[in-house]
Amino acid sequence: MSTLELREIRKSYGTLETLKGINLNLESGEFLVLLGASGCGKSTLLSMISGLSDPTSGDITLNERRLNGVHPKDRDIAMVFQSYALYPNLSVARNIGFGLEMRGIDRSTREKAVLEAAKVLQVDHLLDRKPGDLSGGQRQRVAIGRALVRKPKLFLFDEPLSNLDAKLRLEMRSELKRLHQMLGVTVVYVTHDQIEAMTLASRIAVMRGGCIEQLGTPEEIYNRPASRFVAEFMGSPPINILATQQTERGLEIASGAAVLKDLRPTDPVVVGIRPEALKTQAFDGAITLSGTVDLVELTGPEQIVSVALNDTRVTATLPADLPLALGQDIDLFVEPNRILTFDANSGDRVECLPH
Amino acid sequence: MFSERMSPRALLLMLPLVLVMIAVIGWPLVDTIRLSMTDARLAGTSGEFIGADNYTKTVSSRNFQSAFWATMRFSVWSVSIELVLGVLVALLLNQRFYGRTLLRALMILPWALPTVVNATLWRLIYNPEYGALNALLTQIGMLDAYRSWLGEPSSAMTALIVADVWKNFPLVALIALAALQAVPKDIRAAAISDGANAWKRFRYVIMPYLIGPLMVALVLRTIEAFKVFDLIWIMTRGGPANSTRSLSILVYQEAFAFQRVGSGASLALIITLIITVLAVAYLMIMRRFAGEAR
Ligand SMILES: Nc1ncnc2c1ncn2[C@@H]1O[C@H](COP(=O)(O)OP(=O)(O)OP(=O)(O)O)[C@@H](O)[C@H]1O
Ligand SMILES: [Mg+2]
Repeated sequence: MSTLELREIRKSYGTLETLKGINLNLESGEFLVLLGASGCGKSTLLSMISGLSDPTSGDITLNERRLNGVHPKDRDIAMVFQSYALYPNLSVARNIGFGLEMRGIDRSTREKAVLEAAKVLQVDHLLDRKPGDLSGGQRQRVAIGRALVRKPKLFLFDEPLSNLDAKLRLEMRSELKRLHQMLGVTVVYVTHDQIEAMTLASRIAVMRGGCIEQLGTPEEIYNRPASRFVAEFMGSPPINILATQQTERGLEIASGAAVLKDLRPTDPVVVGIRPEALKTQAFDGAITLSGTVDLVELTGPEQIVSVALNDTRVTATLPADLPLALGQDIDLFVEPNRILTFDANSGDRVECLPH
Repeated sequence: MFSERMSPRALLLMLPLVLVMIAVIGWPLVDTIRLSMTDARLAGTSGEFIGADNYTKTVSSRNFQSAFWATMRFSVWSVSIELVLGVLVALLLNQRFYGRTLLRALMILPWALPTVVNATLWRLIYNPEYGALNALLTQIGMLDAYRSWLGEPSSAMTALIVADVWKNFPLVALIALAALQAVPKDIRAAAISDGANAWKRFRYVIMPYLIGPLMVALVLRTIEAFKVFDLIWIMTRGGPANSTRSLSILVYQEAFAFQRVGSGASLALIITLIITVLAVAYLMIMRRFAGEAR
């Protein structure tokens, strides 16, 4: 059953088109993450789903009900904001119950619902406090509680964790994942943190300049990116992009540091290799890249090694216990099917079948 | 008040300021207190000590009581109208519409005018022979014959209040507008999707951000209104039949027109006391709201 459906959503501010035709189908219980750089229109899309602004054109339907023109409060959608957006002079309990209070739900029902939501989010001991007396993490829990208590068909989150410090962000991320699994709710979640996207999403929509560049599971987005943009957006350290030359030997990478014999692209391409696809042990069928160690950064569990190849560099994530000295020669091996090829001009990923 | 970190050095550094304050505020105040206990006159005798006589006479005099109530009427009405009007105008100017920036700039104008100019302007408007108000009201048929707005006890005070509101509501509107712009967009959005109507949004979303700055405006305006002198002096001189005579005008008349400096001083000190009480009361309210709005 399809829950949320977006058809050809466009939004213009004056002459500037911010969203350029968004199409999306969301199944019930899905966790969709909208991922993209700042200014690509994520919040704009979210505010149109919530009804706080109207699309210039296009249809929004939720459970077969057309939502265009429906007041936000009648949409069965709850939103959680980056800034928490709690009412500063109301107690936590009233903050959580505010939506019910405004809908005229009677006091005892309301109190029961508030307590229930507060327990799920472990803020039931804070109900009498004011938002100003809470920590950032607690405030975000209250904000989520305010959404939860309304039992909406759809949850919208706009970068809910980006105001939290690193440790708390990690904690709340797992908490959100747990909540989603426990309650089975449908979520649209905006972030520009790719780790958040990878860990939380059942599907990711990578947005760029008002369009969805690719929609897929985290695994698809990471391993089979539709374009160089998506490939570069995902992964840390970022994917290595290397220029190529077509010669009679095959496709040369990095001024001849390696040759891909089987690849015969028709148009100019660049190749992308994820840092973790580069190994130091030879294996059958491996492509070899020979260079010298340029820079070593130990992160703890692994070391990020920059290797100079002729006139360029690649980054490899290698085991931390591998002894490496600056300037030493090193051979890196990569499986051919882990080399992605992108059209040098359009950036689209191309399959370069051998002739 | 003094924190435990107030070191002798800090006190020493503040000494010059303290000395200046004593010279320009402390000494005149002490001298006024001394004067208020004498029967000194503007010209001639420096006065004999007569104790609290001036005070008892002043407080029980009909002049003082009528001036006190005139001042109260003026302050309460003008400040309340200014607050309500200021907030309404601020809410309006906080909406998005064409020409908003121009209107915001224009709104400041009355407040930027010197009181003297404003008072003269309104005296012209109220002029019984060629004033704009008479012309307007007769032309739209609301008035049969020209009236002397400032010359009749029934309308003089109202006319003054209107003039004061016109000049001072922009200040309140400006303060309220600044406060409105501090209301986070997300909280407004959250309240809308929570289903709060316009009144509930004002009450729960906007009010918490408005109340502190509004309190400041209230304190400022009340104290100003209570001291009102120039506006009334130019428009009515306290008349007709002393119906618009404020406390400040009474002090002036007592000390300079009737040359009774001693009793004028006692009157001035009574006003100072009333204003101090007002200021302290407001400070306490403000402190409470500051604690709440956090
Ligand atoms: N009310 C508005 N008027 C004019 N332009 C707007 C308005 N709201 C958003 N925009 C523009 O639309 C574009 C997309 O904004 P949006 O807030 O959706 O980006 P975003 O993807 O959420 O970015 P971020 O990650 O920084 O939150 C931006 O270029 C922004 O300037
Ligand atoms: Mg945003």
